Amino acid sequence: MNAATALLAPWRATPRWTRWYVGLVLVAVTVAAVLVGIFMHRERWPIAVGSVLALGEFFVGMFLLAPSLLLAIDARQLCVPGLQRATVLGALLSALVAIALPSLLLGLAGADPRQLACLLTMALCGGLLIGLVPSMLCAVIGLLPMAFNTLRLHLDLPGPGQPGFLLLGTGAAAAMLAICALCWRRELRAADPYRPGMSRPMVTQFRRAGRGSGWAGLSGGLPDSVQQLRQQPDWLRPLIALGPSGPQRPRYSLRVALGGLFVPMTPAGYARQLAFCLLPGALVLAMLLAQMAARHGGFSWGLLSGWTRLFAWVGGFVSLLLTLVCVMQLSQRWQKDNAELPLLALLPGLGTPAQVRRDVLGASLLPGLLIQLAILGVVLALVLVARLGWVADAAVLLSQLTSMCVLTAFTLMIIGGRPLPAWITGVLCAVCFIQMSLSLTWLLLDERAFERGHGVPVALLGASWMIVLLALAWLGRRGWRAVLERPHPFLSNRS
Amino acid sequence: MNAQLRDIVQATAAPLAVHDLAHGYEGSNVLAGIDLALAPGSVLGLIGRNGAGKSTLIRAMLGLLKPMAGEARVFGEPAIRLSDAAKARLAYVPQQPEALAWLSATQMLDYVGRFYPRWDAAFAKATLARWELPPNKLLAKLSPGERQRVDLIRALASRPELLVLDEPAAALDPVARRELLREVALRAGEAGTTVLFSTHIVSDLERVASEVAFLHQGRLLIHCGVDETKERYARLWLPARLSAAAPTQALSRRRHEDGSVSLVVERDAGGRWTEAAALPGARLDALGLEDLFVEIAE
Repeated sequence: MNAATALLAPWRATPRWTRWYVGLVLVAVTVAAVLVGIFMHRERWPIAVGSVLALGEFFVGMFLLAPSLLLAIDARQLCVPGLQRATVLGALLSALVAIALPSLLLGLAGADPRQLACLLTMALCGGLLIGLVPSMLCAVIGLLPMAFNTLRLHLDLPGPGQPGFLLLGTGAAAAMLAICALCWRRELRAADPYRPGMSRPMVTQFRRAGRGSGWAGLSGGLPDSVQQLRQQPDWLRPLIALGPSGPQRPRYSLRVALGGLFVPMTPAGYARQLAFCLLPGALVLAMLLAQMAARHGGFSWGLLSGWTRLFAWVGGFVSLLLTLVCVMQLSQRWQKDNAELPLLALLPGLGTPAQVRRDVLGASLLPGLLIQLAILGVVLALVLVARLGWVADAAVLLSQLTSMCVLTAFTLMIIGGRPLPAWITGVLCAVCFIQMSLSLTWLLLDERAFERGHGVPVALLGASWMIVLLALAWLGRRGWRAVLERPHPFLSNRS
Repeated sequence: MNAQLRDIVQATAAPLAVHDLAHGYEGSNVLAGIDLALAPGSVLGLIGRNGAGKSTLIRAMLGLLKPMAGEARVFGEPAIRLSDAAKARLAYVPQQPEALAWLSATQMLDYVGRFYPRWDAAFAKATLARWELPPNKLLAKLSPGERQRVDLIRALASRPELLVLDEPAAALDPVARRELLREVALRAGEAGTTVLFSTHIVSDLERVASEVAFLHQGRLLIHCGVDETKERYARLWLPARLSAAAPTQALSRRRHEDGSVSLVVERDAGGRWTEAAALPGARLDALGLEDLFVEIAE
């Protein structure tokens, strides 16, 4: 095997759609790095550009290099001579080029190549780590950069570009690489490396190469609900409360049958799920408080009230995330013709088609809308108390309303049997996400934007919100009519 | 129609019937003008190759998809708008069932049982134990065979008058398959349950089915009693010199390299074979069910 073949090995061993994702990310990161380099202050540009490129390295490690493990496993299991060693060599050589090339180029432009190489190596190793460690540890690894920043403030650790960072970064990268090597070896020698479970790495759990699936294809949709349940350890299984289900409580029964986020659970079940969801949030909050204490020498209500914007911002994205998860789950349910749909279609006691239609919408749509309404109430109260100005209030209100409208429109389209093609759904979600990011980030951070003469951009943003809301209203109406036209709501969208 | 008359019609109607049913996906025809009716108490084995349209036909018959043309009726009601009363009388097990993966087998049976007025909870519990299925393990974590058996228990425990099974034995080991067939035969023989099941396994069909329907490329080529097939269908072989005399009406036609022709032919309404069978040099072979299936499907 020559160097060129070894270099291309990870690329060739990656599914086509993953290559597309990674390629797009790398192009976007390169463009962003060039723009940052041009417009950034002369002294700070190397670290800023390095940080942007580090994001790209992280993706390379996670989606391009970590999946080499799959090739190595197959090579070992099929006893293909030389392939296992070639895979490792290919991954190492690719990593070397991915780090050395930008470091040298930026070094020629005046940056410190050693500092940059160290930063990029850390990012690449971080990506590898996410792909190779047991999946239950991924959330912890995701919090590592924030933990590092928190510790840095308290222990006076050097940051990128500061003296001593080289030693610290090299040590951290070496430690991550050692963990990766151990995980790689463990999976390679496992009797059944593709067995589902949270103790198995992400790359082996999401290895299918189909469009929208596969390790990098997570962005294309949630893993199948059955697959998710198979991976969960028994202690995390949902404790479902069948209690009042039956023909006398059709809506409750339908929530049981549709599963997912809104399946009724026992109090212990709710507490367990809530704890599992809130634990990372609590950790983030604790680290933010620790950072505040380090920067300002203690806490004060004045400083905490400044977090209102952060909470409003987070609330907007939580609501959108809730919408996406609900829609993906519902879309999965209405795709399968061997799961819940035939069971529900032939289940007696759910009532007439009109009653069933009402109850299905109630069971699939109402819980999500109620949660979003609660988030809207809390976030709106926060921004009103903080007196951020009417433009910020409107941004918060519109972003929450959009999430609710997306949920409603998409639910109606799915149950009505007219789900949008995946690419249109993707474009619409991307538009909502970008619009929400722009509005919330800009208007919450700069509450006087309107008074400062930014009236035209604010008005344009408002107009774009209206267009999106009108489009969603049209989709919702179309979906509603389709729901009414269907003889019963349990017809699969596959046929 | 008044309520009393409707009850009479529903009681006497065929448990399952389709007329001129047609359906397709993305421009291709999967079902083309299917006519089929099940007599009460019969066990119909639906046989056909992969992709022949068996699952689509079953789903259309039960109102689980809206056909492009034709109609399907269950106990005299339009399949696409079944009443609760009709639903309570039927049970369906799809191919590789995946429903309610977040429940355990016990929870699933408890949940579903609440909806069926004639639910046999004792049978469900006893069969779960007899078939050695883990009662408290999540359905998602069961093997495909275990999952299929839980769903079969779900279907049988509702004590249906019409039982529809789509490839019920596909994921089962020989012992479980034998148990299932015994249960189906018992239900049909003692309780008068009407059964429709699709399968690839001809021996299963011969063991329990009273009727066979052969679906090929979206068309129903054969529908008759299982015992009738040997009497009614045969393979006609004609040497090359007689190939021009081959009848135009045949279920399948194959030309061999030496110019001879093999056809699957059917007796006419008067019980006679085609005239070509009587030609000197022509040969008529009796066909078993499996041979008949292979001859037509190949």
